[in-house]
Amino acid sequence: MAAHSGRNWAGLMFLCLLFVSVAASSNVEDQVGGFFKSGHTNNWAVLVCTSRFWFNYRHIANTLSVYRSVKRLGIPDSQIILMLADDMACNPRNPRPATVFNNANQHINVYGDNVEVDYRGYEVTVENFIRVLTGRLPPSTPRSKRLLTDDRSNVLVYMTGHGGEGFLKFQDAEEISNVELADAFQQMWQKNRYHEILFMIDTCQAVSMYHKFYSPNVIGIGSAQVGEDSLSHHVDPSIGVYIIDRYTYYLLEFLETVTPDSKKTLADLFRVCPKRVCVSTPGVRTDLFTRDPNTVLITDFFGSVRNVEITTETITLKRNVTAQSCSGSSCPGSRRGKRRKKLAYANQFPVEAAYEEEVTKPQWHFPMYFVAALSVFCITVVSAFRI
Amino acid sequence: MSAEPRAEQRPQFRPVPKALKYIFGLGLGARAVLMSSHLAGWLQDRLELASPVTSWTRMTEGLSLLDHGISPYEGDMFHETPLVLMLLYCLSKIWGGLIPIFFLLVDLVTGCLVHEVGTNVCRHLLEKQGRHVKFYSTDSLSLLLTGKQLNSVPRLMLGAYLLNPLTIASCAAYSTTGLHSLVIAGALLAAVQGNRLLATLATAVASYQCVYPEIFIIPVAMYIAQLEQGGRFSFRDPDSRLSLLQTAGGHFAWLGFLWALSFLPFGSMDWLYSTRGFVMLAPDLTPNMGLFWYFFTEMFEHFRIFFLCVFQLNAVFYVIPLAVKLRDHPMFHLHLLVGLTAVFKSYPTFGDAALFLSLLPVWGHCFKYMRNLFLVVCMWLYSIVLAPVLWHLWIYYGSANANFFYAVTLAYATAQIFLLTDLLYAFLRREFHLRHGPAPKEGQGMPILMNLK
Repeated sequence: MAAHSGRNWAGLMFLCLLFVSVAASSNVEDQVGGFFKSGHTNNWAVLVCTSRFWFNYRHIANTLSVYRSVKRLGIPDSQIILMLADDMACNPRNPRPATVFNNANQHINVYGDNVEVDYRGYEVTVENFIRVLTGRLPPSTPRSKRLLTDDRSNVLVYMTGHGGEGFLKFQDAEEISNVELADAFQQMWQKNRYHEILFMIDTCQAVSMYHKFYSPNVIGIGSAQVGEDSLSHHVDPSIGVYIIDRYTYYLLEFLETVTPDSKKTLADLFRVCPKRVCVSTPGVRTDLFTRDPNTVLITDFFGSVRNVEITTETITLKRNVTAQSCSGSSCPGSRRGKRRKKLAYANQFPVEAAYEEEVTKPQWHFPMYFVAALSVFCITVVSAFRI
Repeated sequence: MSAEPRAEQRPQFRPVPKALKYIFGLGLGARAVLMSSHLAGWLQDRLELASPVTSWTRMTEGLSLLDHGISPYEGDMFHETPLVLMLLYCLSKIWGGLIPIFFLLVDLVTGCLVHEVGTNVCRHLLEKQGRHVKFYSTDSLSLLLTGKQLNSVPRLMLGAYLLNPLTIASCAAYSTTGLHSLVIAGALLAAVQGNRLLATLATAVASYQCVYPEIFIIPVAMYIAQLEQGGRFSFRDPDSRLSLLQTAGGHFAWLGFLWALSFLPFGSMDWLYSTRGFVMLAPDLTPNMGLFWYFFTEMFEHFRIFFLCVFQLNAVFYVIPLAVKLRDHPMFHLHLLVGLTAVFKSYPTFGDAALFLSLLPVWGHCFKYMRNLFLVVCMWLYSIVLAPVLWHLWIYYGSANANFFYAVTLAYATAQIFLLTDLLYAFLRREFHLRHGPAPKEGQGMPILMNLK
């Protein structure tokens, strides 16, 4: 009986191991499948604060909060474009120099030790912003000021400042309209400068800024509906101004709980600041986004997570053709080979043809009757002299 | 007058005085030097010397279009008359080097014509004085003209034309303003000689070439009528009216002849819109030394025709009041008109004003009554020097603007207008003093102050 049970146990163990190994191998296949779920290979962030002056301290703090989170979750400084319209940390009115807090309790110094501001002060203009997005910068622009994204980049665009219905104010001097922003994103799409964009905006009447978007793969999150004001959170009595906005305060609180391997999805992000705490109603626009937000990880946008799994097995990969990643001849339905005509610029100035026949002899001669009439005239004049 | 044999027609050659030789040599030499220097190219593009009508660049464009068998008048580039185009086409086909020689010759002939105008006008003045001396006051003996006084006038006129830097620059720029000056000088000469056929031919050629000399017909007709009457003429007299009509008719007949001649090369009258129409409608508003462009750049299209009429009327209207006032002095009237058209024409250049300047020596006896001479000279120098400077500052550096350049143009026009009005005032004042003595007193012995009203 004992030998039988021992053999049974061994068999069972063997079966279990087999099962586990099979399960493990299928797990690897699943994990491989998970590699290709998101479709992006690198992450970029464009964080813009558009207001200057001491009383707009909270906008700088907003932007720096998101900067901090994004850096903490892995996006390197080389892939973050930080645009701050004013310098609060080194402002003479700052009682705690070199720090920017988001909390009156000085809970988190969002300025940190290694902040890298790319566009500062008066460089933060609508023109520079759009040039950064579309990549149409003068050749002398350094790399740190360029958005060097490609078609596999997920870009987080965060903007904060003073806004209105359909516009965002830059530095008290100019505005960017929602139409311009939508066109900038379309330019990016046409130049394959992004894979997906998460656009977050924390201003008054924020959702109006994403109303005009028409490019694919863009999600818009706004902190306030049209007709609502996005409010600030609290005052720091020692600084004397409001130091953070409500939406970004709760956003930061939420992002502090996110780690690089977090499985939290965008659906959680959409629930960040409900009306009872934010007073304004945040808005979301997902109709241009092809994936289901419930399946999109936060780290797809806020972090720079690289999936590295070391396996010792060989895995056969299937070609994963999705609607987003179709290009050229790999698209279903495109014919290969025959129709591939090499394109070239037309000869703009076909001067060779014109110069082939030089003007060797003039093409105009004095008409005979003109010469005759001229001679008659001359004779008349001479005879008039004689008279 | 018409039966008098003219010295220049007889085939005998007078010895040319030394002074004239020097003037010719210096004038032509300066032109030749400037033409062969590197400045010639720069001068050809100067807007003060070359207007859209007279520019050499446009002429070469027209000649090359002709080479390709296209009529130059089809586009908006070329605005010279067909006969001039034909002439230059011939010359350019024979030898390219003939062109500078042609322009030198043009200036030479204009100088000779101006010299002859001087001789003839001086003779005319002396004759008129001889006829009118019985009306003059006995005190005004010192004011009378003498032959000796007028001896140097033709030389001065020749020098004033040939040695004038404006004409030298204009010649070196190959501007057809020289041709315009030639035909106007020819018209002046023919007018003063009094032969109706020739005078009308000359004014017709002048008004064919540059549009504004049409108004020369009025003083010329009055002068010829005066000659026929042997003295004063009046409009009421049917004979003088007939004479006026004959002169006008002759002018338009010659003009029609010229137009028919210009019709033949291309078989169309397109050239009329490009030449006459261009000058009268002034569509080209690139900056020039005229008064039109600045106004028309800022004008609403609605009012364009109105202001065009106003400006063109301004250019030609003065002939009528001057005809009334200077009824007895048609030659002076004619010379004033030369100056007036040089100021108010739609596309003036320095060459037009220079011709008027060269006519001034013949009225040198009026200079002592002129009051603004210093101001005129200063304004003239200022505008000639500053025009290229401010244009450069405006167009190339962008630190000035159109107002600066137009201010200089206005100063240029004002200088010429002051000169004209001052000359008129001086002339009329001299006439007054001739009749009433050099220091006339009124009844109680108080000296009379002269004012031009």
